[in-house]
Amino acid sequence: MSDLNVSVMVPVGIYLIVIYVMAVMCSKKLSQSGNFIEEYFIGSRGMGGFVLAMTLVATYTSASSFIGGPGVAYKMGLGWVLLSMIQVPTAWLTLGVLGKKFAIISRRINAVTVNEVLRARYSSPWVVIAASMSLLAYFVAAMTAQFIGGARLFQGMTGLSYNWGLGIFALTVILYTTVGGFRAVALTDALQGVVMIVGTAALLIGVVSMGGGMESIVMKLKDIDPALITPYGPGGFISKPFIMSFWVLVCFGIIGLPHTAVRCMGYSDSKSMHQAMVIGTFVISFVMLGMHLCGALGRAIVPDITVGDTIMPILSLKVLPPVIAGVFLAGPLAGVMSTIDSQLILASATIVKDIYVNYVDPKAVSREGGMRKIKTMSLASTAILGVIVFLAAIQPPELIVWINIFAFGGMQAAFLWPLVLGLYWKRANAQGALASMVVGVGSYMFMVSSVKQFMGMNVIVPTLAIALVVFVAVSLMTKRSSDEVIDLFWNR
Amino acid sequence: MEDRRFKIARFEALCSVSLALLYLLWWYGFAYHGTPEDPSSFNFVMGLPGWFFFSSVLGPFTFCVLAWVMVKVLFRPVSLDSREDEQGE
Repeated sequence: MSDLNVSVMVPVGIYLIVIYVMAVMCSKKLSQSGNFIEEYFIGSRGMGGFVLAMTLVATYTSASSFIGGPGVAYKMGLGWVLLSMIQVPTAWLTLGVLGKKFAIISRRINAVTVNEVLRARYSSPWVVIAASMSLLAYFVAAMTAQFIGGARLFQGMTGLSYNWGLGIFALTVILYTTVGGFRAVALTDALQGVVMIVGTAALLIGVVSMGGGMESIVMKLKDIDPALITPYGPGGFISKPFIMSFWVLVCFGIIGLPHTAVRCMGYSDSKSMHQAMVIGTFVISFVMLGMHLCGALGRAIVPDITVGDTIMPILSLKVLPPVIAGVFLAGPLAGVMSTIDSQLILASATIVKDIYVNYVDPKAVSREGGMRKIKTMSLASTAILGVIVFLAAIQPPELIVWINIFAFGGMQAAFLWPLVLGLYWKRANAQGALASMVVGVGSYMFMVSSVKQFMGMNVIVPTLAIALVVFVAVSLMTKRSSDEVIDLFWNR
Repeated sequence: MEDRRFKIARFEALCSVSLALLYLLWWYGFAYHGTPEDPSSFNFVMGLPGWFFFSSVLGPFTFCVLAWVMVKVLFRPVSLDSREDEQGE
């Protein structure tokens, strides 16, 4: 364990304080708001273009974009940077495909979660329950993994112990999410997005100048292993079927991630959406290219690191002056926090609105004193979920580690087709959606744990293909959706 | 009667998917098409291997601009109110 690194901690400390101040401001706004549910869970649908772009990108970029991904790029070279650039269309795809229709429908039914749109479209409790359960299971696992990643990074750079790192880190996220709600999440995401951009730029400049310019770095990489500068990587690891399947996993499939999808119902007008599509694309391209390129080029500067996850902290401490390294450390921390906060608030909304208000006590909203109860419950479930995840991260149970392997693809298997076909295909119905979710998640889990790859491709490809076929076949064999649903989703 | 805004939304969704497919073509073409097997016969642009520069640096930048053009030219501002005729445009 190294000594405390004070000059790294100063910018991180300032950064955390700013986040707390933002949370307090948002909680004031929350207490003034006339509609608690709309304000707490979706920020009263008031996001402008810049905040929308930043929260979308920050929610999507997580520990893996800053730590895991660049770590692999270190080993695989430029081919892995090529792979990371598959994510360029995600911002315009998510906003453009769910788009205005999702925003309008969610206003029609006052939806604050993705599941509420599914409930309105399929009018089936089973679809909602299946969606809620898979969402909660995957989110808890994913948040735990993010906490672990964030705490390790904190530990590596400040010299504090893992538990201290986890404590400070978890307390910050849980506190500002609980007291400030969606608005605090979106605003801190915007700040975190800016920090990620600055951190990426600082590190990239640091790496290139320390390596004596791009040309000499690339030549050094070529000397280490010529395969590092080919699209295929050492040993031809990045084969074509392998890399092409990432077009499904990290590009087109992203449309189905509930915590990014929910952002498509939170913007104020169509102009904000248009701006966010452009800004978001710029930001995600820059951050992904910058980070992965740093990882790949870093090989020429510190050539003999073996543990992938330690590469980015070591590299940034090596190439940057300590205070700036602190700013850089804030970048990935921001990436981690902004993913957890979004999942936390949506998981809480799922418990309160999708399960409690829908099925346990539907009259709570109109009953006297009922609203206060919902308010207490909302804050409590955000906080309790946060604490559960925090405890799980201290000593991760086997089950969590296991579920997390399935989280990313599993959510796509559950949500992509029910969302997209629900919006654009009139014939889609509850039976089709439910069958597709069950078969999709089931076959994904089966394939990940048994065959692992399908003809050289990530198993998400056959999974989504099967889920689509099942969805269409079952929908066509069963009854159409009712006229009311068609009216709600297609007519004026 | 069908809400015209949903037709607009469907058109824009198709545009978004098409632009992503176009990017896929660009990305694949520059990364793999005509890239020599042997790294010593690579050409270099700004210190980076040509295939990498065109697919992963110039490509994303170009498509950021194309995304802006798409939004400017093809996307239309609409009201997001739940029922449009209450307010008009």
